[in-house]
Amino acid sequence: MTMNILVVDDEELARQRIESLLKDNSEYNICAEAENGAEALMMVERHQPDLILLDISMPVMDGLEVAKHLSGMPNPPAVIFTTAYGEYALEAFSTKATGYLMKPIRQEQLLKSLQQARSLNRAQRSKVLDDNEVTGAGRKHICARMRGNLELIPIDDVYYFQADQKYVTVRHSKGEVIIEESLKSLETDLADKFIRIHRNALVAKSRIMGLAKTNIGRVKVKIDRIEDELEVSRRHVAEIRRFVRNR
Amino acid sequence: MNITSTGKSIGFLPELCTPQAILRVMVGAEVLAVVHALTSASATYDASIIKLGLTSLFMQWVVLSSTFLICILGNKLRKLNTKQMSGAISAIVVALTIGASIITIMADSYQKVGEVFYWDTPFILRNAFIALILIVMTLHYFYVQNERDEHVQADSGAKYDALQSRMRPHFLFNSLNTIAQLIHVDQNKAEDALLDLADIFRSTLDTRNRISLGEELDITLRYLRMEGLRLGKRRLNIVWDMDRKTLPFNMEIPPLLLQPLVENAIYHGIQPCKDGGTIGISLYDAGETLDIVVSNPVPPAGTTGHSKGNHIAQENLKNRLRLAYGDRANLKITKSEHQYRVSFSIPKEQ
Repeated sequence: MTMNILVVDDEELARQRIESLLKDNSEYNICAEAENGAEALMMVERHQPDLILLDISMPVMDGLEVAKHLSGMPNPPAVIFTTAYGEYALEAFSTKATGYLMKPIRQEQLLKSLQQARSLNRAQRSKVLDDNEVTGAGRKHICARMRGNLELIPIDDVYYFQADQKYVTVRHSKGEVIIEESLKSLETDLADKFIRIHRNALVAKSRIMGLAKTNIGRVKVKIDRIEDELEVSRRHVAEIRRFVRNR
Repeated sequence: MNITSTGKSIGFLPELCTPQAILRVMVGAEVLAVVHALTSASATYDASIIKLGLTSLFMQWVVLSSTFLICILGNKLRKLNTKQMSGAISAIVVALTIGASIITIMADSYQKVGEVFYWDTPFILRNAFIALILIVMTLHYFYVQNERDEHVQADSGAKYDALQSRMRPHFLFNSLNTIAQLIHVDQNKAEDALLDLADIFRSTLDTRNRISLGEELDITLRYLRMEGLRLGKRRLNIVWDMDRKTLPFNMEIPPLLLQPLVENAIYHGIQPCKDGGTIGISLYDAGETLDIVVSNPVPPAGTTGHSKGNHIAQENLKNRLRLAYGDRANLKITKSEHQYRVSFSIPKEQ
């Protein structure tokens, strides 16, 4: 069975190189190319490749973040990173089956890695992506799927996350979207920028304007530039007060 | 950069407050005492020995008490600037010399006349004046020494960093990957690229302190050609603003002024942008100076940026310009919402 491959690299000649290294091999088919991380995620949605050859340093969204978003997908492709040098974060992956390739890429190594990746089933692939220790660090986007389309929201644009039964609503500067990620994992990933104010809400630290008291004695957080006021649960009141006072 | 701020030394002074340093100070004082004894004629051999003994006693007393006082006051002295500190130290030494002189007069008069005198203006003034001259000379020596050490260290450090950045491994391996592919596509281009890479690499092995403007421009051009291949024409657009006819290509400049700046512009301004952008490089012969400006777009917030390295490269340029030209280089870094711009001038007269 031919394996469908997505090649992601911001340098055209680097993409061409992989193409020409796989040209004479009928087992592998390059189904699409992308030149940055955001585009890569779109291409994954559209083409459902079996494997991605993923460059690390790219504009808009880097390879490690792409891997993070892929791990949240129901049916992720296998990932092989391609890298020039010095991307230490890769150490986290080095023992994993999917592995990485050093540039300049050698044909025999490329084929060997592809062969290895082929032997993994879907479940193993997502496990590899999930295990990576760099999750969260360097995460700069929220990835939302809207009617088959992928929307990327820079984390700096997000005001707050609010959980509602099954989904999480992301309120950002251009509107609202719904994502399937849990509040818990968002909290771990974004601990330095967001603060928990309620069992169901995370607010961007930089957007908190101040606190207000409602006439029934509940504390609410006022958020910069938007009207929304979010309730602070009793458990979190002391911590939020301290945060507002100390900054 | 400021090596003197490490350890326990005070300002530009070397380490004073350790047993070894105090021993060194005592030996220094003793040498002066011997010189003094040799230069002043005494009637007999015994008289000279006694004179040497007394001079030594005097000098050691002054030197040791000054050293201790300076060490005790170390924390306060550290807060002063160079001039204030020199003044304070001179004052301490002169005051202690006057004190020592008064004690000498007392002891001497008691021994000779049996009465205690407190004052002998010429004697005190003479000693104070000698002490003042010696301490000023010593301070000056330390200052120059310290300045030179700092210079050497800053220069070698800055140069090492800059050299390293000229051959970022990331750049090297990506370039080699590009060339590996180019060999299949366009052999002539591949050959050119390989030769460019060789020249860039050779420049990193260059140890000269000054190179000609022409050489630096040449390396910058080769570097840009290499990056152009990597990033593609669509992403990397360069606008040169210089007049090849009038530019002083033979002018001597410190190496690694232009290329690392351009590299930085690409690394922070072009690579993180999805569609790349335009880098502006301008060299202008302004008569007495050569004005250089490099500008790059500021990538939109929220994209993957390289926020670290930036500051190091800036500091590096600042230090190297300061070492070479003092304040005359007039380095200016301006950042607006869309553009990042670095400008400086190189004086033609050294």
